[in-house]
Amino acid sequence: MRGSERMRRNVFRLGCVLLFLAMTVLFCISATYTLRPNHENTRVRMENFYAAPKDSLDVVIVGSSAAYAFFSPLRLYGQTGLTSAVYATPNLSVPAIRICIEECRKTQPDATYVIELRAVLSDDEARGNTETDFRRLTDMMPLSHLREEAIRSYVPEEDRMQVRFDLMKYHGRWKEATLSDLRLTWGKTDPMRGWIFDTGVFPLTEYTDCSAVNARISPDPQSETELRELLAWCKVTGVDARFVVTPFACARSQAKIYNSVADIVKEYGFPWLNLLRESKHIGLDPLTDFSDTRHVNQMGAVKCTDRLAAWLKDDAAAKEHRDKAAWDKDLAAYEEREAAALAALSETTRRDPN
Amino acid sequence: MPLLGFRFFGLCAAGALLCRVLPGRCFLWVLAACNLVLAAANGALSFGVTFGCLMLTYFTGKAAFALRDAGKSPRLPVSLAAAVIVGAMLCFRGKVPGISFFGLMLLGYLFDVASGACERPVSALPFAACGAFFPLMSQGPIVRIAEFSETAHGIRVSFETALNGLYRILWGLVKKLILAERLGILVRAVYAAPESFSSLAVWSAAILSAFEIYADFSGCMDIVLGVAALFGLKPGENFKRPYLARDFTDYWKRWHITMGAWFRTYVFYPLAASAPVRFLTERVWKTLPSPSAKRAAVVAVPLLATWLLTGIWHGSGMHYALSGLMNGLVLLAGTLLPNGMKRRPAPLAVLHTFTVGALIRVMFRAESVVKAGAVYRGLFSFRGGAGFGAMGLDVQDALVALCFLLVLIAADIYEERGRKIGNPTLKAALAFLGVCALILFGHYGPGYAPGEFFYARF
Repeated sequence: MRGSERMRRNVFRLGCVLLFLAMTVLFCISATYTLRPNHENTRVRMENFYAAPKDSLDVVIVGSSAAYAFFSPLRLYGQTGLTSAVYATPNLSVPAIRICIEECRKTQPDATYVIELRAVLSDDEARGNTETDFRRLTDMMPLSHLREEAIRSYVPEEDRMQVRFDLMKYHGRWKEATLSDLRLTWGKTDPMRGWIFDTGVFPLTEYTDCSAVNARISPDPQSETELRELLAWCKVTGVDARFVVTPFACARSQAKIYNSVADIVKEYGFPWLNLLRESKHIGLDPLTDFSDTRHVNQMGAVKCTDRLAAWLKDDAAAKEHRDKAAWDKDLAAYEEREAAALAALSETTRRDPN
Repeated sequence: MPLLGFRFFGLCAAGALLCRVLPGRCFLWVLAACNLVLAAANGALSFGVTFGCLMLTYFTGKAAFALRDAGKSPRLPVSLAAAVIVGAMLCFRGKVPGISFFGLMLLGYLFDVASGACERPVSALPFAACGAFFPLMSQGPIVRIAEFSETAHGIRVSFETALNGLYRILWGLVKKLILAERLGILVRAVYAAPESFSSLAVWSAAILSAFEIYADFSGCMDIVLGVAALFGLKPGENFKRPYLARDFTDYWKRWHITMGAWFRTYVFYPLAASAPVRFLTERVWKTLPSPSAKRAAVVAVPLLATWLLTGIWHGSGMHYALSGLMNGLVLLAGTLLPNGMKRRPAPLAVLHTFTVGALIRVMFRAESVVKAGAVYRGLFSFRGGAGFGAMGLDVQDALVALCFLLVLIAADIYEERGRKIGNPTLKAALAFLGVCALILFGHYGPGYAPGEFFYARF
């Protein structure tokens, strides 16, 4: 065979091999996104963030379940006209917050970042270092150096391969997948913007009124170090950050710790909203507005979101939104469902006032 | 270094690439280096035993040739070396991966040298490269070292050969990780407590066990032969659609072919030709009336002895020896069959052969004679008990297993009819589907513990 024919044949073969490999990679990527589990609605929430067009969000709320269970993006939009999304996973640790903000700033660099700080109180076991905790974050992040950094920070070396390629863990979920789960990447906006209507009621009969707690206790040294590192990073990188703590059935000592946290945050010049102290002021009823000791139900979320809205309204600037019509449409649907949820909650509390 | 691991495939890829890139004279050096890497990765004991047995065989072979050239008998050094190797096989079985297979290869070389079947000694480098060729070190196939090393010269692997090798590896992975693993769950559940399952469930497990072992072992062979193809080598097929055999003799010419050939060449024929057996046979032969009985008498002793040894080679458990004897008895019975029986319709013959094989495999698959007895009782007692729901597979996994079982059977039937898929686009499309199936349905990753290959324990 002549040289040119051989060359043509080899080029053709190389092309076929590359095509095969490309199709395989495409399949793997699609399968990865399709089969990732929802992890308490984390997938819906995170995908909703990634589906937002670049520079289209006014506010990004970062934190743990103490963020995503308290602040409804659509209600916030209805109150203020500010578009927002929640980038939060259960048990997110303070160091991981920095990774999340960096990740979010890739597409939303000019947004205001509302950072929830419940994680400051976490003890060693609850610091978000279990496999379940860090996978809730790393499984949702697209391939990037930040994802790799998160994996290297939290994952023991022998487990890194199967965290990097999470399809190795989740390929068995083909049994649960439906056609609507089919994805090539994160691109689906959730009509409720990742919000779940919680109509459970868990009366907190022993709820500390933190507004009367003025003393201070320093956080444990590791927590303080992590907090200061986060604040310093936000300062250096120029993040428009605001810090918040949301209400829960806390002990007086924990309330004192948050008073110290407030001092530290203000020391770095960042705004601070302590909903623990303001829970009475915003009308939060511990007997009807909580679904468990650490999270509010829809009634409580309405009050917390409205307070956040009032806090942000004057300072955060709403952008010109080409997708305002979509937000308005989703807001209308949200308000309908919210009314139904609140009615259900009222009915529950009416039938069982205890 | 397990066969199902990134490190093994990394070694294969690196070795194949080096063979492609480096000049032809480096081929054997690359093979020898890969063998060294695998032996070292398996631990110091494995490395020591493998290397020691290899060196012993090589130098004994050289000594044997020197003695032959000097007109003397090489039997003493060969017998001593063979005894050491058999001792290593017995002592290190289960501790050194593949010692049973590797030991047979070395013994075969020694016997070839002693009998004169090997005309000239294999020199050091081909011996190191081919005698311990790393893909074969887990579960064979059992090659004749002299013949195999003759093929390992001046090889340039074509694109088609390499591609077919990769396709074959993929097919092996599909058989093992999708089909064999799922069937294994079912079978292990029943064999662990056969008394609690219904007869129907036990029968299902017995039948599926036959397919489990086939998918597992032939899957491994596909991976091994696919890897060998990447190096341009052909160690020899070990399976030839055994469940389409029409009689038991044919079955054992299609199942674990190289093991059958080894025992036939080095145990059966020498025994049959030995003076004591011939003497015994002639005495008995004269007293027998019918031609079929005479036929059986000629082969009875060497056949049963060979199969007893075959059983023992698999393991020290009594059930292995018994399963070997059972195979021998069925083969012997085959020689007594009237010719009319041999002219059964093909589907009936295939079904009959498969069923007999599956029933014998119960003894082989069970962990002990007692367990095998419990399974046999379950098969023939027609009782109720736990059914498919308790066998450990949900409906979706069972459907996947059934689907791939049908694919395996269809592929075997297609090949049995002499057909091959020649169209490269169709092959590539099927390969792509295979990759997708493996990614989705394969038993790998956290939450799964793919069992070692079944024959890796021997």
